[in-house]
Amino acid sequence: MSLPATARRELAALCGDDVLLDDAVHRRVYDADGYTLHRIAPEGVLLPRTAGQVLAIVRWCVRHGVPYVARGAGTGLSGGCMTLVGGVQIGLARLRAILEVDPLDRIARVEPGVVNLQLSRAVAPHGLCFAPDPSSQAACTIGGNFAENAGGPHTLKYGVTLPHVLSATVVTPEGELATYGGRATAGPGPDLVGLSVGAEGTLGIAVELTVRLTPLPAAVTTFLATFESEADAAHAVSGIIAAGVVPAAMEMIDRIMLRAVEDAFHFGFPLDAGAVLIVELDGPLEALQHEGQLVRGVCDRHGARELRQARDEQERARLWKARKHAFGAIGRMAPNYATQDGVVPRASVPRIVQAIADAARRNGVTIGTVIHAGDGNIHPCILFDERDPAQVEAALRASGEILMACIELDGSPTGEHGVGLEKREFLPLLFGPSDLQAQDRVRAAFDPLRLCNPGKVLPGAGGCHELRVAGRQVAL
Amino acid sequence: MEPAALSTPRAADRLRVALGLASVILKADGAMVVVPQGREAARLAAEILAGARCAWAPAGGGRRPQSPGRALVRTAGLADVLDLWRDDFVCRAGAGCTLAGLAAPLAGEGMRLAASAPLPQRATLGGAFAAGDRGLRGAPGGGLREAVIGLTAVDGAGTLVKAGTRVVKNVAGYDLMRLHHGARGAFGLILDFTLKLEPLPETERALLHVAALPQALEQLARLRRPATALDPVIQAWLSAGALRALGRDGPGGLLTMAQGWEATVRAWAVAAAGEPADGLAEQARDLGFAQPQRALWRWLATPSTALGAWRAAEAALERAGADPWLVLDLQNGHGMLALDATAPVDAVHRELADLAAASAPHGGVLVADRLPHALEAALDGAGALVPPSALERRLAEAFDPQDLLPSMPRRVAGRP
Repeated sequence: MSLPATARRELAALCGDDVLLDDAVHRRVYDADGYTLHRIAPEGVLLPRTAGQVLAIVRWCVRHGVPYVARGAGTGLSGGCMTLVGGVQIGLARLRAILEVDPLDRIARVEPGVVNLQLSRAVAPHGLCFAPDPSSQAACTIGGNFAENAGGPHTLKYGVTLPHVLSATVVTPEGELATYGGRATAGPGPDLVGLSVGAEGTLGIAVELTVRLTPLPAAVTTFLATFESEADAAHAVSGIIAAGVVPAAMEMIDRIMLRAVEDAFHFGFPLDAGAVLIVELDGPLEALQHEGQLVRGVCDRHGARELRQARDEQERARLWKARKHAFGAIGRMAPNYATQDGVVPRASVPRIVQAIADAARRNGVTIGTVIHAGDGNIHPCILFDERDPAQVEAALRASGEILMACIELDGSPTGEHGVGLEKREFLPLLFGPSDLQAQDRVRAAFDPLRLCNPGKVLPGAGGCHELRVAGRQVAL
Repeated sequence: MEPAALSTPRAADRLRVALGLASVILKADGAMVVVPQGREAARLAAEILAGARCAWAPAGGGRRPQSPGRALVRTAGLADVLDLWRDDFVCRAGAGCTLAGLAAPLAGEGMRLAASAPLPQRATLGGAFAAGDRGLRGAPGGGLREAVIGLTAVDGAGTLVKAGTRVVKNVAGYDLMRLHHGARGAFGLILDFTLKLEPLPETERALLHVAALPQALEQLARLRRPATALDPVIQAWLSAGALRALGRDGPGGLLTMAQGWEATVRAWAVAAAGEPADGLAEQARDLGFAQPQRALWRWLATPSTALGAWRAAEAALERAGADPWLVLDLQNGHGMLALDATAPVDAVHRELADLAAASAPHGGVLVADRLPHALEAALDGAGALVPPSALERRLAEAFDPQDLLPSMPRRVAGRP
């Protein structure tokens, strides 16, 4: 269903003729984000150029009772920007100005459509970067990072997006402009900016963000450790931190993913390994030498058969390219794949690795896995062919089993991809009824009209689709 | 809300039956202090207080006295370290656990909580989190706010609410932990925290460069260059008054502290070439809190904001007889401004309103932190403190429908 002619006229009058896209082709383009198992075309897509236009659009939606959903670059992996109960998408990609960089305060003020990597490149001459670095950082936007509380490999040392967002100017769900936070880290007063980070755009649409910039390290060194098994690699991860070293990143790649990455990038990964661990250290050079020795000792104790240090920046860049494009690489092995996102306590990584293998075997699917091992954040990639309903069913079943295992291990069904529409029904397994009611009270306080990205984040929000997850009927 | 004279005795009777005589203390002035032993007792206390419509406030280590007329629910009975997952570097501890009390057992395991708060011997986890304390040691992304990965709280209706989990990354649902951060108990009593820990650094060293703010910021820029390699974990500026209160002279001082491996820190100290200042960071952190006659204000101001606004404010506050001490965390933009509480209210308020107005265009905010009750009432009566926003009121109503819990921290209104 597309927008009625009157709506088109009113929106054009508010924002100009080139802001609304509602022909069938464009609606199809915007019917999903990176989570493609389900598609719902919006009634229209609006691409405002200014915060004022976003405000005008939201006010129009409020006036007419039209649900709306914000969208960044569409790289989300949980269906968070799909218009589940109808309505329009408000794409923020045209709001892409870096408004201010203040090296003394180490902050930047940006519009939400600024691409993550572009911000880091822009501030690099000041010796600074924007620390959250999701794998999609060449495309994903700061607004999307804010909405999803995005992570990335380097969150082990630098944290997810939350500590890097200082303030957000938002168009509230009631159609007002409000600024939460300031240029300082949150202090007295309820932390409304912290509450909005990771709220998946359900508490308002950010039109300007003030973010913290992080000093670039004086030196960086990266190791590739090869292990016979994932369990050995996982034990080394805990051992490295227990030795007093907090690496910038510790990434594990399993055997299946190694094959895919090697086929794609020819880095020279050992294909007979059970798992490899990428350990990146950063800081002063003397510290890296000391920490490198500690890392070597721990890896040796846990049976690493090789510890290879990137010889130079080029080799290090190639290694990270291979890691960050792992999902693309595994995409060559099957027509479709679903990237999952779960978290377990770090010490439980060996158990979740086993659970992933069990789920793959039970459901007859191939799963390659990368793990932000220092954070216990797993990303199993489940291969399937969407043309075969049985394979889709098997992929979904395996996916659900893995997430259930995460919860049973005192973990979470999502560490950085968000709940979106994909994982709402897992929340009652994580939280009790009073916990979820409390979350719903927060949402109601922000969005009494329930028009701002309705049906997302919390379970039981209604919908028209059904899907089997882990053998249970789940309303989508 | 009923008058305390009616609601308190009714609640006290029920609480004594439910929690035992020893958990309920009625003072001579009629004030009630409840000390629940354990999580369920705390929930029950909140439920009973709600049933009796008795106004109450969470109370930790008593660093910021609550306003009179409220029952206090102390967290002293919730002071245990409940779990320590060594391989995960995660622990769960009661909200009544003090920062110093938690540090000792963690240090024995080679771990620490990367957070600080004034008076850590008295500062409880619950109190420090609810006050939005940062201390000086909290590097960006490394304060108590960021270390909390889960909590359990009881709201104004006596309902238990859990937020977060025990994993360090989790984006499932709304982050209710943030609601409690800095809210001074407006959304309920926090019972326990799950905390992310980090390895204890091998050593740390502090340096002082005596300098007024503009020169201190120039010095800081030099220290931040890659030549010194290590980004100091503390980057703070102490005003002339603060320096004087700490027994040192000068127009101000840049206090830095590096931590890490011994050789690295030693090399940093040589390159940074300041006056050794071990112990000064702790004194600066506690400054103002240790002096009960001081009114405390939080000035959220980054270096750029402070550079533009502090000099005039300092002179004006001195003229007003407030003897200002400012300790400003330059990384987080958190300033602790301690003023002589006996200075003339009108004059001080005028200068604070000017400071708030001068800071506001640059994102600076001035918030009442610890004020004598009479001073706070006088400022409130004069319209000097900004009331909560409509959203904040709606959120408070959602968790405290009877308006029994304390109000949120109040900002100083800028003078037009």
